[in-house]
Amino acid sequence: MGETTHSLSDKRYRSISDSVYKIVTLALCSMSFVFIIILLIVLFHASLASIVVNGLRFFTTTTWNPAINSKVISVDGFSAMWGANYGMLVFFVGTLGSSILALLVGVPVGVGIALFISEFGPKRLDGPITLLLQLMAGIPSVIFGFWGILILSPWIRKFFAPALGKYLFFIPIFSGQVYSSGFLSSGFILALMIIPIIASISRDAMAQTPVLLKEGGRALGLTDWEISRKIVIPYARQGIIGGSILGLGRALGETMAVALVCGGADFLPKTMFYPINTLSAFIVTSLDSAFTDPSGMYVAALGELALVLLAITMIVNISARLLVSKGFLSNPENVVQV
Amino acid sequence: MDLMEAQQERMSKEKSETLERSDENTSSINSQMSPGDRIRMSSLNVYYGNSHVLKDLNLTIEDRKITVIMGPSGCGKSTLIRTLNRMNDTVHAFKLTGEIALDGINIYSKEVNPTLLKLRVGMVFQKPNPFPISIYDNVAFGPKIHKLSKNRAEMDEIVMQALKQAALWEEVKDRLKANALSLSGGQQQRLCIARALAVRPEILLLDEPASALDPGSTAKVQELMVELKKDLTLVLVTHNMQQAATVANKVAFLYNGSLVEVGQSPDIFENPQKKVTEDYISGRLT
Repeated sequence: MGETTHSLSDKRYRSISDSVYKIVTLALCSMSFVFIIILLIVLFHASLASIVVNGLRFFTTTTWNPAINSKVISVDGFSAMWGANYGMLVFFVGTLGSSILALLVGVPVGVGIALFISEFGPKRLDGPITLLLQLMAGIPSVIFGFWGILILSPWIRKFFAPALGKYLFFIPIFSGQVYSSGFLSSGFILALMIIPIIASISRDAMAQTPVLLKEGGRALGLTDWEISRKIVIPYARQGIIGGSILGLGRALGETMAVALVCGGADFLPKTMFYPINTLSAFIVTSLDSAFTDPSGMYVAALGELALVLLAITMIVNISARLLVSKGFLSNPENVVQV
Repeated sequence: MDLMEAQQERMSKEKSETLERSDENTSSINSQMSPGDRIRMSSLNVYYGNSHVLKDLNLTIEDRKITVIMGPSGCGKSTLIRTLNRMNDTVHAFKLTGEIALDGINIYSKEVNPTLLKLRVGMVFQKPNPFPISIYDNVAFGPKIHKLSKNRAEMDEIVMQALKQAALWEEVKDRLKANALSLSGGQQQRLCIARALAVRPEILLLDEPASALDPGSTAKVQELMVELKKDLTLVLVTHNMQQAATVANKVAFLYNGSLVEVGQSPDIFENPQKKVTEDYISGRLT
């Protein structure tokens, strides 16, 4: 009798594997959160000496002088080198400047590629171009840097910079001495590296444009270009901005390629032809000598640079997400412009 | 009404630029047209790749009348109406033979600019497709692109006229800045009609404009069509028999890509000549 109907409360069916499964996946999920917290704590601890001793000067001065060969003194309970000064402004300016240049070059090119794939180009080219973009995104950054130092930088020094100087000499940032590596090389290399990100995310967003809206535009006598400009781009704006900011995040943190082509400056750039230095490039190129500092302050200062870089990239990513998910971008009033 | 005149003038200038150049090539067609005809399709065949969608159609669209194209799903109605303003040009593997003449000029000849053609032959789609912007900006979209107004006051006038013509003005005049998506489905469709009217087309193509609407909104759109034919030539695709019978002057019954029967309304409903037409009208064919 008992086996003819299924019991609704048989304990054997309340499987233990479900609970285990939930706990394990929850633990794996929270690992990323825990990891970020640990990272912040470790970085903060490593840079504490620099934060206390250097204070605001760290953010407002341009001189980075570890004074490794002077004598160890004690400041506020931390040991430091007598006469040393740590100011990150050169690297901060270089990081922001090269990334903004990368966006200025990369966004139009990336959006153009996306438009070509989704709107204008023949369907049979979509696959190959997308594959090419994926390949480009997967190239190790040191190879970009190597190419930059061998080809791009000499080309900029010999042809591009002189041409800019010739035609745009009246703008102060396009005049004066041309260095082989620096602002332009870094910005262009970074642009090449973020174009695949911007193009593929923009393309995905453009593909979401309802055919009905495009047909509505076409029926009103809009040309292909007008449809792209007035309907597709506004509709995909969220994705274009999202992709650009992801690209910005990548550009801000990019290390190896920039380290090779930035020129390693320890002074602020006066023109687009100057060498620069960035937070990440400087950290990787000076870590070796940092360990020779007997006071340990050099390493702490690099730690603070890393903290600043982490803060910038986090702020960029979080604000991008806020901008894209809420706020004016999701308001349909702002989607299509005339 | 200076504005309207100026607009008409500009439009007719565009027209002549667009279409007159091919006059010599098409004089033969011209002579075949009777005075009331605006569009004449002759031996029209349309293919999508290997599939033969429209087969040897001959049909004329008369001035300021409502021509209804009806037929079961998949018979080629939408393809037919979309070839009249070259909306199919971008469709993959679209191929057309024969001729469609608008006022005696073959709209598929090389001299005709398909973009300018759409200024004369407007279109309203099956589903309301307002842009996600304000009501005002939707109507002003076409006139802005084509620079049909010199200033804000002229644009206001164009928008008001178009909304009045589409019988929507009274309902939206106090909230022109509101988003078009806040309107009901029926209002959205009338907004799309206003948007099409704002560029002053002479011919309006309506591809099942009421199929996504409730009965009340459908009735409004139908009344509107009858009102519009005072000024415009209308081509309506529908598979709603009642709608066809209510608004049609001329009915073309399309079946499997072929034109089975063309007649005046209500004759064709009361006295169909072909068995398949009768089957369709009596609901035996869907």
